[in-house]
Formats: sequence, C-alpha cells, structure tokens
Amino acid sequence: MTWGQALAYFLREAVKSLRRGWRVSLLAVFTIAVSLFLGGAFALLGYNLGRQLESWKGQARIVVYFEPATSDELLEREGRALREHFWVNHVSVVGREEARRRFESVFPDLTDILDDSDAEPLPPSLEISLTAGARSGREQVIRDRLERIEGVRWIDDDRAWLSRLESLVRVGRSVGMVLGALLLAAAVFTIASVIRLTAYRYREEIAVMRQVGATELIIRCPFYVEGLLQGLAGGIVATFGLRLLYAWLSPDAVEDGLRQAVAANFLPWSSLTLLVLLGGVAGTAGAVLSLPREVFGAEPELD
Amino acid sequence: MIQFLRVTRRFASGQVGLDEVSLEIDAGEFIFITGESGAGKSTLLALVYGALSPTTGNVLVNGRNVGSLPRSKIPYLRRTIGVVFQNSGLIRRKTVYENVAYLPQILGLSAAEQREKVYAALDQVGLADRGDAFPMQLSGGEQQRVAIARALVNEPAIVLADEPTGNLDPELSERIFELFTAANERGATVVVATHDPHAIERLPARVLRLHQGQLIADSERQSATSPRAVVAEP
Repeated sequence: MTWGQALAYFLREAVKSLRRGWRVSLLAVFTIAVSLFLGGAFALLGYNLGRQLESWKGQARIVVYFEPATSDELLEREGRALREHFWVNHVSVVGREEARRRFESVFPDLTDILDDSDAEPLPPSLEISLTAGARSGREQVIRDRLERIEGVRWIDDDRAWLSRLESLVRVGRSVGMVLGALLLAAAVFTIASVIRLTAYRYREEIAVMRQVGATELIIRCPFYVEGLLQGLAGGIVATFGLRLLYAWLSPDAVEDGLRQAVAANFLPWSSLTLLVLLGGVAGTAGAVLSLPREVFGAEPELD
Repeated sequence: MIQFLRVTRRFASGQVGLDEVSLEIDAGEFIFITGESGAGKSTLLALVYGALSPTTGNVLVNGRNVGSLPRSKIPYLRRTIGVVFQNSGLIRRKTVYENVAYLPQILGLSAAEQREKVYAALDQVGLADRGDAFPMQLSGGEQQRVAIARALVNEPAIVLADEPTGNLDPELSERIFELFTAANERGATVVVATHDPHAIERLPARVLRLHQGQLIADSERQSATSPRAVVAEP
C-alpha cells in the first residue's frame, strides 16, 4: 500500500465512521468548538485590548503641573531644555491663560468657579510626550529630572494607569490561556471517550482485521484521522462562532466604547489558522490517548 | 511447510493448550485436526498464524520461526495464510465485496486488480452475484463461503480453518469442504480443525488427533509424534 493509497483509505474509513456515529461525533465537535471558542474569545479580547493599549501608550503623556505663581519664563526655559532630551518627543507649554481657555471649552457651565475671587487660579503645566523607544528605566530618568524642576507641584503620569491596565490585560490573557487549556483538555477527553467507544464497538472487527493481516498502522490510523477531522471541524465551528461574536461586538454594529475597545479588529488569519490546527491537534491527541492496547489485544477464543 | 518442534503452550490460567507436540506438514497436504473440545486444535492453528507464541519449542512456517517473529512482522505472515473461523468473522458493516477486498486493499492492489481478485474468489464460492449484500443479509452457509472467499482471495500457500462447518447442516458442510478441497487441488496446504466425522471419513486426508494438548494419533504415521505415551482415544 503506497502512502497515497493509505491516506485515501484512512480518510475514507474515518469519514464512514463519522457518518455512522454522527451523533457522538457531533458531541465531540461541539465540545471542542466550545473550548476553542472560549479560548478564541479570550484571544480576541486580549488581541484588541493589547492593540488598544499600544495605541494609548503611544498617546500617553506626562503632565507636570507647576505652582500658580510660576513664571512663564521658567516654563519656557524648562520646556526648551526638555525638548533637547533624547527620549522626549514633544513638549507643550500650557500657561495659565491656555489652561483657563481649555477649562472653559470643556466645562462651559463651570466658568463661574474660575471667576470666584477665592478660587485658586489654574496651574500652568508642561505636557510631555515620549518617543516610542522610551523604556520604563529611561522614563524614570526623565521623571527624576522633572521632579527636580523648581516650582513643580505634582506630576500626572498616564503610564501609571496604563501600566495597571497592562497588568490587568496580562492577567486576563493568562486566565484565558488557563481556561482555554482546561477546556481543551476536557475536549481531548471527550474525543478520546467518543473514539474509545467507537473502538470498543468495533473491537471484534478490529480483531478480524488483525487476523487478516492488517498492521497496527492500518488499524489505528483511521481512528486518528477521525479524531483529527473532529478537531478540525471543532476549530472551524469555533472560528465561525468568533466571527459572529465579532460581528455582534464590532464598532460598525455598536457605539459602546468598551465593546469597540474589545472588538475593534478581528483576529488575524494566522491566529484563526492556529485555532483550527489546535483543534486538529487536540482531536488527534484524543484519538491517540483513546486506543490502549487492551482494545486492540483481542485474539480469537481458543479451543 | 509447517513444522512443530516439541511445542508446548501454557496459558496464564495454568491450562495447557499444547503439550510437547512435534509434527510436520508438507506443502500441498490436506490435514484434518480432530479431538474433543479443549484438545488444543484452535491453539495449534493460532500458533501457526502467530496469534499465540509457544511457551517452549518452535513453530516454523515456510522456514520462519513464528514464535521469534517481532509483533510488527506478524501481519505480513498472516497475509500469506488464509484463515476461516467457525463464526465467519465477517465485518458486519462492510459489504461482501468489501469484506473480501480487505486484504487486496491493504496490500495496495489497484482497484481493477482488487475487483478481479475479489470476483474470482467469490466466483469460486458461488457468490459472485452477492457482492453488494451485507453479511446479515446472507444465510450462515453463505457467510461461511464469503469467509472462505476472503481467505482464498490472495491465493495463500496455507489455508487454516477452525471448525468451519460447526454451525452448518451436513449438506452445507459438504459444500464447504468441497471448497477447501478445490483450494488444496490448486496447491494450497489446507489444515482444518473439525469435529465433523463425516468429512473426515469422506475425504482422503491426513488426520491428526489431539487429546488434552497432546498429539495422540497421526493417520500417516504409525504412532503419535508426541514424545509422551500414546493415549487411548477417548
């Protein structure tokens, strides 16, 4: 038997077996689809949050607020000095008047507060954006430098909350991976049980095949291909499910900001291919685990 | 063709299947193995096609020591031996054609070659028109004939049959034995384990008699080849 003939035979036998036991096969496909769908949903969430986080990190600023009495000259001087810094991309000087104008444009109904004679005037500030290549260690150097500037009242650093969010996304990804792995293990177990049942159902036939001269490879491979097909089918179903989830959450369909953040982009083809292949690997693993020697050890009863 | 050299087979239960049996079967012989239930007939056949290994002694088939063959080589030995069991051992979910075509298929013959061989075998057993039927649609005799067609499809040098007529009436049994005789006339060495006294009387074959695992009589030899004392027939 050539490899081509063997592969055609394995595929034919596997498809026949799937058709004969289509109910249990559907159960196996459904189980693996659910586990891959949940894993894929976490991947979709993580992928989009990761992209969003990168985008936010690109826009992240450090805002240095000064005492209200700080002179414009000092601000301009410090701004010029910071622009010379290698890791600084851009510096905007926001004087008291500019701060007031921004406040009025954002909170037009609250301008009375600023006219109150007891109210403290809005502080001037420097808005600093860093280059993409800036790393946390170097940012700390800049932060140390900023804290040493005369008249600095406080420093508002976007990176603090972005860092917390990044940790949260990382935790979410890890939870997703663990959950996905657990569900995948459950799917492998289900496929193993389904194929074990099939093998037990056909154990007499398997004994006959062996007596006629079939090798272990010829006997076992159709079961492996059956598991592989179930896994691949589960992966494809999960991919369609994810596409539906994405269509439901995508920015075109909803205006909710959070939904947009978690489903701005669909998973790339490479991830989808990996998901389907993962299904195939899980299915094959289930089949391999399901065929212990005792199922195949049957020899004819002896006189 | 087949040699047993002081072969003993013990099972895990302690039961002795064969006890120091030595015999030689030449190419082209037709052999009956007879004896009461539990005498060791099936054990003897299973040792020939590698379903069992001898506990002691050697079984040679075509000069190859079956007991020392690695497990992975056993299927290749079996492809040269046609085996028929009491219960036909057909694969129920496959058609008659598919059952008979199983060995040609795993041997990698082309579809045309498979078809030619399968229909030649089915023609020999008179079932060429039942290729599309499933085993459950056939009578017991027909099922057994399909099993024989499957055993003969690759024109094996050795045909083993274990109580092939155990479930059949005398008329069908006679028909089955005709098929084995025809295979023997075409050159195959045929070894049939049977209780059927009519077949043994009717056919001019060598008869080996087993009792409690020992070979106690060989119709072509003056005494049994078992080294133990000859036991009176039960």
